[in-house]
Amino acid sequence: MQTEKNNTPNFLGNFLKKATSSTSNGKLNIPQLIVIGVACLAVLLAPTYLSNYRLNLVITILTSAFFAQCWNLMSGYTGQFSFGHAAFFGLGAYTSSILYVDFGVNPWIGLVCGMAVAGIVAAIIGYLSFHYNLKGDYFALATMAFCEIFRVIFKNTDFLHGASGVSIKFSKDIGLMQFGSKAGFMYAAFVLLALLTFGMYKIRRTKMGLYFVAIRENEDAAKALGINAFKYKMIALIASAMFSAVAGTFYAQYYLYIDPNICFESAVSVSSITPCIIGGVGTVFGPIIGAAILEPISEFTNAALSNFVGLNMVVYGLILVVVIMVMPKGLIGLVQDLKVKFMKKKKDKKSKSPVEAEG
Amino acid sequence: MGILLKASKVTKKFAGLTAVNSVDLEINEGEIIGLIGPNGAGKTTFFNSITGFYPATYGSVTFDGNDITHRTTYQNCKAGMARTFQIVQPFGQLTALENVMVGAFNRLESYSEAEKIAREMIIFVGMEDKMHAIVADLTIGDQRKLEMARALATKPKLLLLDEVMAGLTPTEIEETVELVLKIRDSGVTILMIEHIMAALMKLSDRVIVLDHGTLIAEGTPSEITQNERVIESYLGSAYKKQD
Repeated sequence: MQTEKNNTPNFLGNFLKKATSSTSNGKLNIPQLIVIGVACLAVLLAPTYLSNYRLNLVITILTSAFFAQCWNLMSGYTGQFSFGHAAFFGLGAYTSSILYVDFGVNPWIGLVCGMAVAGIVAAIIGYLSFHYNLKGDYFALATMAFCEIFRVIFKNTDFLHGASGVSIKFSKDIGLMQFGSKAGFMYAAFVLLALLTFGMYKIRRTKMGLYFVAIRENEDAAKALGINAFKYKMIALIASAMFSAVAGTFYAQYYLYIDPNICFESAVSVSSITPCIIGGVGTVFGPIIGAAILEPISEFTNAALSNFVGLNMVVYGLILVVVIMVMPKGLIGLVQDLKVKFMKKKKDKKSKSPVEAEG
Repeated sequence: MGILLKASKVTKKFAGLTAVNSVDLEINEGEIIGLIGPNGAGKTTFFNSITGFYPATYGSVTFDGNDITHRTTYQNCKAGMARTFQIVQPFGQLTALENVMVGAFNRLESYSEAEKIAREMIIFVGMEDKMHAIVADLTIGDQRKLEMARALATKPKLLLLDEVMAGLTPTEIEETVELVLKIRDSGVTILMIEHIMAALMKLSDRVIVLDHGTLIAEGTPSEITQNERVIESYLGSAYKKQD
């Protein structure tokens, strides 16, 4: 049988399977809509009640959630575990920044160029990997390797500013993709995240979205049901890469400085994964919930342990390990499981009570 | 009735092992063909060669008038060939309805239409009470039925069933026999691998027997049960006494 003969090591895939909660395609119910509405309102009004320092944290949460949502499309929905999303993030950041700094190209155009570059690179990686049937851990390693290749290239090429990185001039011109204040950047990040999340929610109830999930759940079965798995995996990868490039450009425009380590380090790739795992892989709101939990923790450990260099990462790592052990399916998965348990108990009670009455 | 599928000299080799050796088979439209043989005879590999999972090493397969020897699985499905798996291959985290919808999308684009067809198919296999159940939580019997519904939702001309009755209770087997007949009556040709002889004898118009990758017999169920070679290699001497 196919599955028996297919002995590709698939530790990550198996992990993904365990981490994925049953992806609800159901429409949002009213309490959920209320929660979403309140959360949106809280974010939109944040500039009125938060200091600039706190606003920075909100921006970090929103961008981190956006980047994680990109990973979620390709790895969470479609099941192709990427360990190298930093490659697309970095390509987006570098394309727009170099075009702007060295060639005077408007960052808005740079943004589109960055998306195109990331898309083309994703298409090459995808074609090589999927055409030769690279799966599971091997695929994850390939994406990681490509990302590392980019880091080395960018670090050692003078034309690309080498190790010293690129600095972008500060301005307050929205025409140059700088939104003036922290509040401006926050609204921009909010719009980006809202659009992508709405897309993720909508696509789940389309042919393409269901095909993505089918490929994640069982690629052999998907093929037997007429799904061109190669095509749909390519679409997911390229779209995911293009959105990641947007995250990269946004990062560059906000912090006004990038270098090869900031862009292409594996920590960046990991930062696209952890929010999904904490919130719920393959769910619409998982990446957002995950980012909203993780970023404040990271911020807090950074501030509280600033005297002990490196200790903050140790504590952060420990928290991460504990969270994954306690709720392997993420927060959304945990809530779903509890709900199912609760319903079962209720049912058991109902079915038991008549017997007791008779007795 | 025309010939729907024609396999000529289909051979599949894995390194040194010849799993399927020069098998010829013709299937007419509207037939139910049973495929039997001892474990390791190459039945599933033959399925995989026809459906494009493991393209045949030699030989050719014609389906519905087109040469499909080198086509891939999903292309064959588009052409009208659907299958179930010996080991069930569900989309575990999806609901029963969504599982079948994936099949329905083979011929459709619209979500609501696919949902409609999927509902019909689930009702067709008699699982309407489990429409929204998560498939990983269903019993093997239900998962097998669902796999049939999923395959049928692709609107196939030929349905390949790989041991759909394995591990089912006698009642479930009876239900499945009825179901297979119902599927055939709806105009779908069926090729089925099965070890449950009683069911197979009842269903098949013709039975073919594989042993060590070679076709050793072909005929009506009653001819097969009389065949010395088949009794020796597969059915066992007990079958002789029964008759």
